[in-house]
Amino acid sequence: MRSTHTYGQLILWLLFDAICGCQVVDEEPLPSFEQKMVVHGFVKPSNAMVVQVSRSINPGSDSLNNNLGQAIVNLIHNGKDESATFTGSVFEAELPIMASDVISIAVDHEAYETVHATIKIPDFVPIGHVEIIENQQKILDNYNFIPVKIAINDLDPSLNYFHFNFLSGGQRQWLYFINDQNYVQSTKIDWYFEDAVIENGSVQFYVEKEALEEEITIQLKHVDHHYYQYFTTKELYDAYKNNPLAEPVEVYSNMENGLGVFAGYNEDAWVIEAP
Amino acid sequence: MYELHHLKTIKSILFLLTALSFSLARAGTVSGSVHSEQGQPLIGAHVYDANTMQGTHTDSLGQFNLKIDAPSILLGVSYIGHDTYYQEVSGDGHYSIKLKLNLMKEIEIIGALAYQEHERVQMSEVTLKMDKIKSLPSFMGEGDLMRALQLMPGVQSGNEGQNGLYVRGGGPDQNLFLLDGIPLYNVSHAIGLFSSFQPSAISQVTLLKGGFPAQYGGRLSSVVDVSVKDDKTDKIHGEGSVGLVATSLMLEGPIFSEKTSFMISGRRTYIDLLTRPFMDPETAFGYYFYDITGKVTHRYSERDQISVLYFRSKDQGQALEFYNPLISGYQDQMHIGWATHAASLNWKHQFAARWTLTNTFYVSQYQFKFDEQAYTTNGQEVDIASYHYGSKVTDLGLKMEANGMLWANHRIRVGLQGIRHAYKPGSHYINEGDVDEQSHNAKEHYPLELNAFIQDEFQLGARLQANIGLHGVWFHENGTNFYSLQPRLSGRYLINPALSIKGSYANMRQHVHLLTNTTLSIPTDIWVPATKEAPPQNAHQVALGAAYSWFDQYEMSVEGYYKKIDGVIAYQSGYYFASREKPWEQGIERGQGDAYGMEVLIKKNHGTITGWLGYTLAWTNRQFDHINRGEKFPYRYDRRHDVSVSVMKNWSDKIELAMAWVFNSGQALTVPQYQFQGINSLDSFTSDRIVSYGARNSFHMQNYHRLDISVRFKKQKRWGERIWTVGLYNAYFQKNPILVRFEDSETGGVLKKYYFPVMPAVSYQFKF
Repeated sequence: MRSTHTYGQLILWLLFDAICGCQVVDEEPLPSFEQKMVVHGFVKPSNAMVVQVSRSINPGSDSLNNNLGQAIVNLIHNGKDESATFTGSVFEAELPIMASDVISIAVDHEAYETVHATIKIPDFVPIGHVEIIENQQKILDNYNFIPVKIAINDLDPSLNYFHFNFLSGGQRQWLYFINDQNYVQSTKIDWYFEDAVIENGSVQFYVEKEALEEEITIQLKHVDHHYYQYFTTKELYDAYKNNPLAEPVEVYSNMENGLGVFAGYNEDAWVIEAP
Repeated sequence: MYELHHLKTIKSILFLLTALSFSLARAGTVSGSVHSEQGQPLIGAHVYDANTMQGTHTDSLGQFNLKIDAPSILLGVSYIGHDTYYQEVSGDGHYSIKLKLNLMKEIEIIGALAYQEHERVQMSEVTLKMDKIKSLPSFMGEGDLMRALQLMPGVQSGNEGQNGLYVRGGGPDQNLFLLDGIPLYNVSHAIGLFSSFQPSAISQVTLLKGGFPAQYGGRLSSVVDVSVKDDKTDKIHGEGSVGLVATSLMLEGPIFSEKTSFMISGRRTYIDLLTRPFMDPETAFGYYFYDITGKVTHRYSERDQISVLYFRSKDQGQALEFYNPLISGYQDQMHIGWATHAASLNWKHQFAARWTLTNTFYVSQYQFKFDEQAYTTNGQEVDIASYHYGSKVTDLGLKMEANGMLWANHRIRVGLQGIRHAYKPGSHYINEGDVDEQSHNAKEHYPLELNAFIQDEFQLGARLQANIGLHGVWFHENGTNFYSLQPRLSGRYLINPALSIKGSYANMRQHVHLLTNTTLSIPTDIWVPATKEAPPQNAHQVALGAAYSWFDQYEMSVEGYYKKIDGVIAYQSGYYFASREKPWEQGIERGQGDAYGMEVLIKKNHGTITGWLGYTLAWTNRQFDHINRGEKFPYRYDRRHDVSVSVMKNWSDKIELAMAWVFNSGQALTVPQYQFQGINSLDSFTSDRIVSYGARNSFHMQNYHRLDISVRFKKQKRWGERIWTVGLYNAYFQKNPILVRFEDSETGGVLKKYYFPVMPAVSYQFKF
């Protein structure tokens, strides 16, 4: 059976072809727009950070090498200027980054406007407890699903965002969200969520029992607003980029005068043995 | 001292009011009704004092009231296609006037409005008789009232070829379509290429773009009031047409006696029948649409009339693959269909010399369905997978309206309407193997709506005429109540007998939304009610203008308007009609908009050459918190300039020429601007490329212009009249895109554009 968006296209084109059989088709190059600098950087508490600088190109072009090597990266860490070392198109800076640090980035290049952004590194949010509930398994469509409950010590009263992964045998596994009527409402391999979905201090999902190997790793990242917006809009973009009926998805960017994202996160991991 | 002064002020005001009432009451009034020879009320007939040329017009029941200052006057009554009537009358008399049909006069002033623009209190209004619409160039031979309205200033047509109306910056959901007072949700066929209204079944259409009288409510931007033909005839008459894509037939006449008459009209396309012999026998594709309009009217006394109306408009398409699943392994069947149904029972009763009560009970429904069944062979077993998608909206309504005169010159209209809505937006059902899924959007809504209004159209002296009204609504949806009181005001001041200035203000509230996200008006658009999460849309519109008439055959009107809208909705990024991830309320954004501009209309109503020139200068914008970074952006139909020229020439009694030329600024479009490498995960700085669209609707397409021409050859026959019409749509083959898509190609990104070429039209019409 086709995916749902295919039906939309079918409906439209069935009608269109029927009524406008005598239509004429023409192709015209896209209008040209001034291109922008693209900066990506994801920062967590550590002793170093990495920033990649590239440039945008015209849509439809197959050009692969878009890295920018002549840019100058300026960092301000907790109000103090820091240097960044250029290695190809990647800039590395060695500095002790802690939770709650404020980092600003400004990237200069002679061919583009200066792009800049500021972030704050989120606090550490530990995983409280992991429970694999063997006696509440569900069999759907000949597959055996087992519920997993994760307690999160989210003590911060403000709005928080998280990125969650479940790894078995070193591989990220699909998470299944099954409702009371035994319908699979959604499946995710990267789960981005707000703390509104945390009920009574924990979250719950199902995994396929067959996929469980000896060692299981639970990864929880406490991410900032920019990280959450970037990856959730990127997920939407990937899902609908080929659907002519859906509204275009604009992938989030917090880079003033440019494209890309500069974001912060903090992470915790929990390793258990499979039941 | 203060109290004494205060008392004097109150006394002065009371005195002025009393004096004013007295002066109004002292004037004599001539009232009456104007009918055709067959007894049908003539709407919009000009009734006037032949000495001073001051006058009024008949209302929707053919009634009039004319204030006179002299003991007696020479009353003149004129109406399109009829002899002008004169009679000496005295004040406070009531007259019943029958106008005699004059065929020669009809030919002379065909298409002319029966009143002059500068005299009317109503502004932002366009009324078209069907004779005029039929004489305009048509698309594929099918006369279309919606296309005729698109030629008026302030009305955008949407995409090439479509008959949608975008009025003064409003969306396609903001037009109230009324068929004999019944609201309709969908009035187009074939992704908007044809309208559901058959010209032969319609007597006239009125479009209101602003200054809405209090009797109308429920939509923000326009009212399209379509009147179904119900002429009283003494014998059977008919009218038919055979065109390139469709055939239609209309019959009307008496039933048993002259007190009862009927009208029935039908139309069907036959593309499916003509192409069937050429189809691959293993596959079949077919599409057709049809309309039926029927009306029976019974006049069982001088004061009472009852009528029953039925309307149905349906589109049906199918695509079948006739492979034997046991041999080829796959068979697929798809059916798509959408339909509008409406029916009403109407009773008109005259309960006093000057008052009429109209009661209407109606049902109106729009339904869309898509079904697919796929059969797949798996060894000796056949797996069946099915998918169903459907949406439906049904209204059940009861209207009561009283219309009549109070005191000397106050025309009062008061009404009450109750509606029970049933919305079933976008229900999915998937059955495939063990998967049996029903989607979120299957949630149904059953709101209740109560409307009440009162309006007073009155004259203050010889120069000032006004219409003041109030429209109130209570809307109840799933425990949430919405109340509103919407004031309406319009006025006309006659500077001299040929020139007037006009002004209006209207607050409109809309308790329904249309979920749509394509540039085409496709039947998958979903109607949903206002809810707690998606409250009603609201608009305030002010308009100022002037109207001037000269040489008894030219009219010119200029209007400026400003409209502020809030509560408009749009899909969130990535969401679309078939999304199943979340309910529609969670897939929309709420925002606001504005529209402002100026419209000019110059008309020539009489002579062998008639027509009009329209020009619009307009701006319209939208703003949503989470779209376009929260910044204001141009609405999709933000077109700065819009020009339309329509000319009709009677070459002789047998040949009529018509042309229509339109020009407007290019449509606003969101196009890809940047492409870059994104980040898939933190493990590596690589991903598939991302295309960024930049600011919403920041790119404007090329200007749009098109010329349509037609020639009608008429001939009288023993049995009636036949008309051959030949025409060209887009006569000089201007490439105006129907649809623009972004696609990758070997040379980079391109905009792929789809056009109509020159579209010839031939049709044969007959009347008897």
